Amino acid sequence: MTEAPNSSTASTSQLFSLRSRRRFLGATSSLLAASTLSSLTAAESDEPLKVAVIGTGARGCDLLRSLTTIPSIRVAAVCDDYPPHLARASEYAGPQATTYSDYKKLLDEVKPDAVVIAVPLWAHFQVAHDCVDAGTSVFVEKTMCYDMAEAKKLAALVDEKKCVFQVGLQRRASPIYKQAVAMVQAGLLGEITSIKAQWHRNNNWRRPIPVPKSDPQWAALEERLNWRLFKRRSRGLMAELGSHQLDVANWILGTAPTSVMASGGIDYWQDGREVHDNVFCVYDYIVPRRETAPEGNGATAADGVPLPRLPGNIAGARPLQTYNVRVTYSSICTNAYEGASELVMGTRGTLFLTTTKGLFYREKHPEDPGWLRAGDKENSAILTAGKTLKLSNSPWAHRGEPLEIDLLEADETRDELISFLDHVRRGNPQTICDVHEGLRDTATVLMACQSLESGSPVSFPT
Amino acid sequence: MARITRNVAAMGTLFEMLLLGDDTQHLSDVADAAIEELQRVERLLSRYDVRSEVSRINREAASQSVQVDRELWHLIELGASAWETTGGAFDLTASREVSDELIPNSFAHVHLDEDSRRITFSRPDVKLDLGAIGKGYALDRAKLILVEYGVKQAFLHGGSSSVVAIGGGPQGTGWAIELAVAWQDSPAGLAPLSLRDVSLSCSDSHSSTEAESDIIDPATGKPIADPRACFCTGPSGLECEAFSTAAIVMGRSRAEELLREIAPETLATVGWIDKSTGPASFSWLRGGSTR
Repeated sequence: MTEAPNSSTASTSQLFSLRSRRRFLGATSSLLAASTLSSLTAAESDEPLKVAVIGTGARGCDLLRSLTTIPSIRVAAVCDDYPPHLARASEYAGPQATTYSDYKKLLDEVKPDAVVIAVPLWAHFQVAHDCVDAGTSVFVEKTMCYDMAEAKKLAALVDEKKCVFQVGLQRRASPIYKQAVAMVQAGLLGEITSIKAQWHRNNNWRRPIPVPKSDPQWAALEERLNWRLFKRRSRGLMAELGSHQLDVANWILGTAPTSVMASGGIDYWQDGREVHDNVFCVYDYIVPRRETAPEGNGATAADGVPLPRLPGNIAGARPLQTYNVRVTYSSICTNAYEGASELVMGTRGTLFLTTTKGLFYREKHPEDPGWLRAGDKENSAILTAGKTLKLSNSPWAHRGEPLEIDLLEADETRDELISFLDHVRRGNPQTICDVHEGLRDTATVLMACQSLESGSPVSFPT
Repeated sequence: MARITRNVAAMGTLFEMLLLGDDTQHLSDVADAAIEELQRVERLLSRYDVRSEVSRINREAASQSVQVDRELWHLIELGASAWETTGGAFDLTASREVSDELIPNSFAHVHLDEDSRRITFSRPDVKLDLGAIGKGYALDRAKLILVEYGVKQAFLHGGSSSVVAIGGGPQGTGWAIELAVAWQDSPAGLAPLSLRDVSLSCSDSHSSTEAESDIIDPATGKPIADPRACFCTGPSGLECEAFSTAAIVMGRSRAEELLREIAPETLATVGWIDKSTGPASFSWLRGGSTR
């Protein structure tokens, strides 16, 4: 099937014969200085962590490839029940990794310290549940589970076993998103009143099938390789894409939504798929109102920085402890403008976020100094000039150019794995996205799916 | 016959592909998968993307050893082997794009530990640039996808200097290519080639728009002086590109010497052009049918 990266054409070539390799000077050392976030600390006496990858399709192989760049772990086994995917995984993992098509056999024989699970959504629960039960630490791709019953059962088991468990919502490891959340919490945006998130692409979301349509195997392969398009295997765009961004909304607002209204259809890619090719959602949130920026990061109650407030209730009634926020989400397959992005709107500023860029725009405050400068004495004459003073036409003249969040040089997929493995090594179950965050995200996704089906608003599942 | 074309900007240039077949939907899905693979390779190798693996190596390898995945390790090791075989003419670190000041023979400062797949630089100003083999490798990977999914006729290129031909073209007589060299007095293209199930790479020392070559001779750290171009065909775009890049640095006689060591199935044909071969003509250093 797919030829290996180290293919035989290379080994017959005399241009690239592998003779006289330069050797690393001196003895090799397994100690890696933890000088940056992107390193794993490991003492020389630590055994490498034994890791297995279950589900080695496109995402699984990306995760596997990242794992092979992380020192002090070893990929002991890979598993997939589709031979071409397993063969590709074997190339990435190397000959010392055992290959399996049955994950239960892998668990039994390999007894890994940790597993990374990237099987299709419908199989997440079964595989993750068995791995947690077997006592391994578990990293499972988003969305955590196909339905709420499974998600709750998994959360209960993880808590019972005190399993080190992480869901692959990788923006939790992204420096841009972490900085954005810090900016929100420091009050730079004022009070957040709305978030607009989208994942817009212009393609049919299909993978090719290796046999022609006339082949008797085509239908089974279509359901296997294009599982995302089938209802009993997939929850469509919301679970595959929306899960990431609704988790960002939940993270920024510090809470889950109370209800959602959704609308969608199969309106463009009418190719036999069962999931919508465009979805639109309006989520309602009730967000606690904070007086000051939270403690932590060196700040204490004494430092209490008052947060800018929403326009007050003029009638003088008691201020509310919570306020309403609406989050809109859309995902379409017919236009790619602004791709995957979130627009976080606050009374004092706006953040535009993607995984490669973060821009902060300040909102114009009504009392921003124009020509009357702060500090002018109250009784001094206001200066006038005979000639009308001109203002620049630039939209940024009164607002300032957007502030760009520095793109720290990081790969959030690799960083989320490093964080997970670090927690595994320390036995710390408080991962950057634990099972309860995963449960909350699953509920946020599934309530929209339910609303899409019923055409009615749906409340957050209890 | 169904015909699908696609193009994508990647690795600082334009990749284009043309696929022929019976089933438009299938060709379209396969072409999309091939484009994704080109982009995957770019994300791995691109020196322009701060999040790529090569960028990570370039940032960290001077201060700590960096563990590399098997795919990228394979490419770096091939680069190391080619560096040795070509007597230093092929050098993954000799690039104006990544370093303003070039140290002669900079690849000597790259240390590879194959047991742990770790790379270290013993000087901070050393940087890897896989541009010399990136297009060829990306096209090899795209070709694998097309072949795996049963595409029998296709033509792909990256920046018009790396080409993959699958099948014998719409007329069955081979995909017809005309070579052109930027600094030739005669503006006409050189004699056409017919490609069938083979990769082609062309390397040119000078472009018409720049007076100075952007190819550096690693031995001196200076740009190549005399204009020359080399093209070669073979089963692997990666190897063709590495050879043609090395050849124009080495010059004709050293390239011919090296060719004597290389198995014929690696490079089926090799052509050479410089000011002495005359306008609108080239010399076959290996293989090649009459025009």
